[in-house]
This record gives sequence, C-alpha cells and structure tokens, in this order.
Amino acid sequence: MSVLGGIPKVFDENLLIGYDSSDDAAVYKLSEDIAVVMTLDFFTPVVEDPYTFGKIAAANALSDIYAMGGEVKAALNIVAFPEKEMDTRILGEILRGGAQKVHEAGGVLSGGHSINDVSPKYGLSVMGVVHPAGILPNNGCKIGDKIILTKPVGIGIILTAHRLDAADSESYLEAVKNMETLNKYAADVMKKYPVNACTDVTGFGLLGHLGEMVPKGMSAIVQASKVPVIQGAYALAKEFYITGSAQKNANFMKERVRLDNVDFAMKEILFDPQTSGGLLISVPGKDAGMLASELKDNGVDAHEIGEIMPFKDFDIEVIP
Amino acid sequence: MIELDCIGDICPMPVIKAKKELESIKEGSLIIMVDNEIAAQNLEKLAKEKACAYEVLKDRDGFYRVSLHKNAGLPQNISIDMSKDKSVVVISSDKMGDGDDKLGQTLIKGFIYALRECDKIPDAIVFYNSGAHIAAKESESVEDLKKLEEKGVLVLTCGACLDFYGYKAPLAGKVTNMYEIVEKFLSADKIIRP
Repeated sequence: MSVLGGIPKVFDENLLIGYDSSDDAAVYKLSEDIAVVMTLDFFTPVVEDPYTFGKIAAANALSDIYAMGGEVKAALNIVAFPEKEMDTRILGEILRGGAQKVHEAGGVLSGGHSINDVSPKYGLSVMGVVHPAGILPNNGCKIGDKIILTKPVGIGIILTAHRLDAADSESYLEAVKNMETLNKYAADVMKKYPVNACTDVTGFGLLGHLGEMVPKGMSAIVQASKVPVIQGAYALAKEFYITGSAQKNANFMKERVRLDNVDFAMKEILFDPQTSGGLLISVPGKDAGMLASELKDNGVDAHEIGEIMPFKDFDIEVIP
Repeated sequence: MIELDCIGDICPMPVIKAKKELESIKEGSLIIMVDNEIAAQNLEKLAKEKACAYEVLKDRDGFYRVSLHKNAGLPQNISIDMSKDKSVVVISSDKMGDGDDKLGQTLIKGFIYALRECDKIPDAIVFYNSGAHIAAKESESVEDLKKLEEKGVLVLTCGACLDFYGYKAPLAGKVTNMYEIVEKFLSADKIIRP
C-alpha cells in the first residue's frame, strides 16, 4: 500500500468505492439508480494452452464485477506479446479464449491495446453496472452470518505441481475447469439473497481474502474440514509442492489468524494463492442453507465453511 | 554433510530438493543455500514435518544458509557410545591461554602439532569462533589437521563462523553446524579445551 501513499487523494462524492478500501473494483455513481463498476487484471500464462489461458485470464478479470454485485457490460483486451519471437496465431488463440468468456458473461468486447514485450501477458479491463443500493462491499459481514465459498481451493498447489510434472491429469483438469468457470452463475443466484458482503478468492488465498471481509469487533470462525479442496491438492501439499506466495500470505496474516490445530498441508491450502477463485459470500445464517442449496442446484460447487461471531482473540480462527 | 546450492531456485524447488536428500539419508546434516527468507521459512516447515532440527543464518551476501539435522534417534546413539571412551577437543580461539596474543597463537599451533604426534587421538576436534581461523587459514596447523584426519579424527569447523570470518570452506576437515556440535558434546565422555 505504501506505493499508493504518494498519490494525492481527490475527493469525489460519486466515487463510492476507490482504492482506500481493499475492495475488488472501483464503483462510480452516475445517477441514483446506476453506478459503473470498473476493474482490470492481467497476468502471465498460468497454463500452456493459449486458448485456455485466454479463458482463465478473462474469467479472472470479470470476477471482480461479480464480487461487487454488478453485471458485466463491456470489456477491453490488455495484451503484451513478443511479436517477433512467438507465432501470432498463439495470440489469436488467447484472444479467442478471452472473447468467448466476455460473451458468456453477457458483455461486449469493444477493443483493447497491445504492446510488444518479452513475455506474453493477457487480461481485461472490464466495465459493469450495479444499482448503488446493491453494491456488495468486502467488509460488510454481520454477526450471525454464514460464509459460503463457491469454488474449491488448492489451484496454486496444483499449478505448481503440474509445472514440476507431479500433478495427475485429473487434478490439473479440475483446476483448469474451476479457473475457467465464471463467477456469474454464483452471482446470479447470490443476488436473490440479502447478502451482506462478498469478495472473490485470488492471490491472497482463502484466509487472506476472508481477512478483508471481517469488520472490527467480529471474528470469522472457519471449519477446515468443510473447506472444499481440489482433489489431489492435499496430497501434493503433504509432498511439499508448496509456494512462496502461500508463505507470504501466511506471514501477512500471522497476527490475525489462529490455526493451531490445523495440520501442515491444510494450512498450505488455506493460504494457497488462487487464480480465478470462487466467491466468498457472507449471508445471514437463516438464509445460508437456502442460498447454498440453490447454488448447488445451479451447478455451483458451493459450501458453507464458517460463520461470523463477536470478536474473540483473533480476526479469524480456524478449527479442524 | 550434504550441501545443496538452491540460489536462484524458485519455491518449492529448494524444499522439494531438500526433501529428496533427507529421505536418502538415515541421519546427518543437510545444508541448503537459498536467496530469500520465504524459501528459508518453507524449509523450516519441512524440518518441522520431518522432525529435523532447523537452523538458519543470513550471510553477508544476503543469502540464507539453512541447516537441517536429521537424527536417527537419541536412544540409539546412547547405546552405541556407552562402550567406548569418546573424547572431543574444542578449539574456540586461535590463541591458547590468556596473555600475549602472539604467544597464544604459537602455543595453539604447538598444541595441535603435539596432538598429531600423540598415540591417543581424540574422536573429534571442533573449531568455532576465532578457532575457525586455524582450520581455514594457511598455516602449519593445516598439515597437522590433515594428518589427524588420516588417523581417523573427525575435524569439524562451525559453518557460521567460517561465513562470519569470510572463509568459503576450511582447508582441512569438514563444515559443521550447531546441531552437530551439540550432538558431539552430548555424546562425548571427555571434552578437552586447551
């Protein structure tokens, strides 16, 4: 955050969510009933297949709109590509994958910008809309809420092991399928419920992002055994296919999380950085069962993993 | 002792390599050089899971020297050592006795020479702190130490001390760490400090 410290802040009452809070996207109010949601994300390839990479990068960028409670309207491509060294057909495949996801999201791909670079990078700048009253902030959790997660975790571990030829193909394909899946389907169901807070799970891992959701005076209690994990990820973590980023996430959250009785491999999974991870939804306890089952009916792999309680000792407590 | 150079390796490579080495040895020390603290922390997790002792030192180049020590189990060690009278010579300074520095340095050289000529040899000689100079700097003592090694004496120098004084490796004997030093002390019947 210190890099942003030097940027002068200009107050605009219509900027409902900016970079002051650790939220998923910026939200700017245009009128009483319409606000635009803006976000962008791009990264280097996480998988070998260019078409699949395009789909994953796009699904990941689009996700922030859903995490804010918005709907996707338009997107622009962000491209870096070594034009001379690599076959441009590869770039064509990346863009085809990205376009496919933007269209699936109900948005229109409306241009973009590319530069020549040593390594390929791809992502989107996305514009969506939301009713100002329907914005879902990260940290709006209330006591008595249940926490629902809509995709299994362990993607970072599987991708790391895959690079080292240690992941079996079923685990890898399950990770790819999850990364490609738009959070749209979870968001469409979620919007029918009185959700208090929502974010998506990405680089900071499950506990890192959950940490952004828990307001002062409350604690999130997570039951590790209820957290859905991609098959094979637990066994790979046990074999030390662990990442530097997960350790950074654990260091960052050290003072705020207690997970004494959780075994080593599960700790790695809880801090594992995700690419295009699922939504974390905080919903009143009385609605949680209904929401989880309606999500499942719509093909979303949703699981209730914990709850929000009055503050006790730590912001997050993980029980086995 | 096995040394793994993992400078430039990205996680989890240092951990995966270290795990493989640990599984291939029954007991002993493994040194892993890594270039970032996160990698050292990941190695610490490996140590914890594999019930190894863990030690880390940051050297002057900003690299992390991680030692993992695998012990086949204390009860075993004790039963082996009971029958034999074990002695360890500890050299913690490059001078012998208090007084004039020059005299002290001459005396310690004389001590090592005399040790070499003795019929009864110790099981190990451990060098640490400024004692590390004796094993790492060119002098007559290096030859004496090599002779002692040939006779079966384990010549050990503290790795952290070598790093501190800017030596890459000792000229005679092997590099050790605090865990091996502690183990040698605990299993010795006699510790001799000139």
